[in-house]
Amino acid sequence: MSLSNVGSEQGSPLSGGFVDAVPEAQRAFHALMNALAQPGRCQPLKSLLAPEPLPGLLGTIGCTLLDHQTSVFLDEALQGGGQVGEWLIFQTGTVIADQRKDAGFAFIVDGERMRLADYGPGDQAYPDRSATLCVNVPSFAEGPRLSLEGPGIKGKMIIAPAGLPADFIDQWADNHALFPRGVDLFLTCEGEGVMGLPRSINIVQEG
Amino acid sequence: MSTILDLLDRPAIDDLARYNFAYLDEQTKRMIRRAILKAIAVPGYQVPFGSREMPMPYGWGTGGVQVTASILGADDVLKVIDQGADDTTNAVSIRKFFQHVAGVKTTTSTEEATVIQTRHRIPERALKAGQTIVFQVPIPEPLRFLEPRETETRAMHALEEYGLMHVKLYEDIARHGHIATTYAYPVKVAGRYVMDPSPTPKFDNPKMHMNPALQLYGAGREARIYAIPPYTEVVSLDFEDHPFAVNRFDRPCALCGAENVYLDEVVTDDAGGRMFVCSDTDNCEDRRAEGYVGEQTEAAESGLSGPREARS
Ligand SMILES: [Zn+2]
Repeated sequence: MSLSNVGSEQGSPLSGGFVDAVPEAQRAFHALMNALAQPGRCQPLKSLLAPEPLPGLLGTIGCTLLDHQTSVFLDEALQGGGQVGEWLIFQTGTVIADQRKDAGFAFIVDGERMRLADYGPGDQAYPDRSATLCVNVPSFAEGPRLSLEGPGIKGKMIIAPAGLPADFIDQWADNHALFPRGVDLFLTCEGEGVMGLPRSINIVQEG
Repeated sequence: MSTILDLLDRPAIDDLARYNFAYLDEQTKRMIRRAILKAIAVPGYQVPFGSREMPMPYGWGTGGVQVTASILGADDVLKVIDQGADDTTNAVSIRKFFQHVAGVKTTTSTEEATVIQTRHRIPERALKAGQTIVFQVPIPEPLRFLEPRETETRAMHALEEYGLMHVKLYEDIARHGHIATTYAYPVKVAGRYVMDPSPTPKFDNPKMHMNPALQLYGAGREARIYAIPPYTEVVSLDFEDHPFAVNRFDRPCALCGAENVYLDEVVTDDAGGRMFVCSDTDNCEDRRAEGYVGEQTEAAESGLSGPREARS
């Protein structure tokens, strides 16, 4: 059986992905671009059929940005069973990274336990050689209120994502202080979409 | 060298169009898209990317064309300008190119466009949130004329060591009594990177500051992409005793009477008659349609002014 047959089989770990890749990738990229250009503003993103426990929205980001030139680290919850890694490799050709610090991307579903400092912030001369963390969270409205300021934001922007570490503000302050180095975040939430937190913005507790 | 216009006249363009949406293959678009995201996250920093050959000479803005090709969707409305005009050979060709390879709707209206590709000007009409303006950049490195070595300029950006740039501007003052740079006037983006808005006239520098639109810059030959997110501080470099000032024109547009707009001098007849008119042709046409007139409106309407060509 060839790989393409496996991919088209319903219910197979290798099914799902884009149906019409060119326009779907463009639309998803458009959402990601706007998410990073307008930090904290939720952008609509279509969820892909992806193997458990990979959230469909992370599947969409994977199919949009990953290929054989990229590497992605999967957090512990996504590593179990190997299906997620297999699916991402099959769909995109990406390399699965063993170490957080070596990965160009990280897919995270256990956001409460993530440490931003574990990932590569890039190099002072090449700050683009940094990691992009894609974190699926349970809610965009039920977490602590955070106030964002910086490029892309007119005045300030208030967000309240749940599922981030208890000391997220402090972790972010350290990340922002590295600028122009630092990691960038995409937060996804099923039923909502994607929001971007680029390293360039300042985040403080609101109220 | 053959131009896109030659290409568009050949049946070969149909093969191109069938080959890939917006000409570039998906692998290349993904690579450019990743670079665009880094550029947005680090405003003003030049992200290296694997620039591709495009079916047009480098002078035609292949960097901007690659950026546009990577962001464009079927429901986008594209405007292309060269200087401020929609009707020059360069602008017309790039517009036709994207009509053929992406089937997108095109427009000359700044208001209607979702993506605006430009070689020099930022339209006079204020851009809106949700719009993206893509600049075709010939020389992305603002320090290049001061330091030809890439390793050195990269180190200067890394260390935020921009003294040399101030020395250059100060030499201008010593020689001319003022900062003589009128195009590609360096700016500092979000308080960090010094960036070259080249080859935009410094008249447009204030439009970059806190603009609601996303600004993307693509340099094809030097393979760099950089960006200014919406609502980002953009400051033109200057000195306390020689503050940055835009070039003012001492007259309004001869066709629409607009003041405080960028004017081009155009020849009106064989006898050497000339007048100053809006470089932004769309803005000028809109104003004339609204009934604004200039001192040459009548003469122009009797057929003295034809389409203009860019003079770069
Ligand atoms: Zn005018």
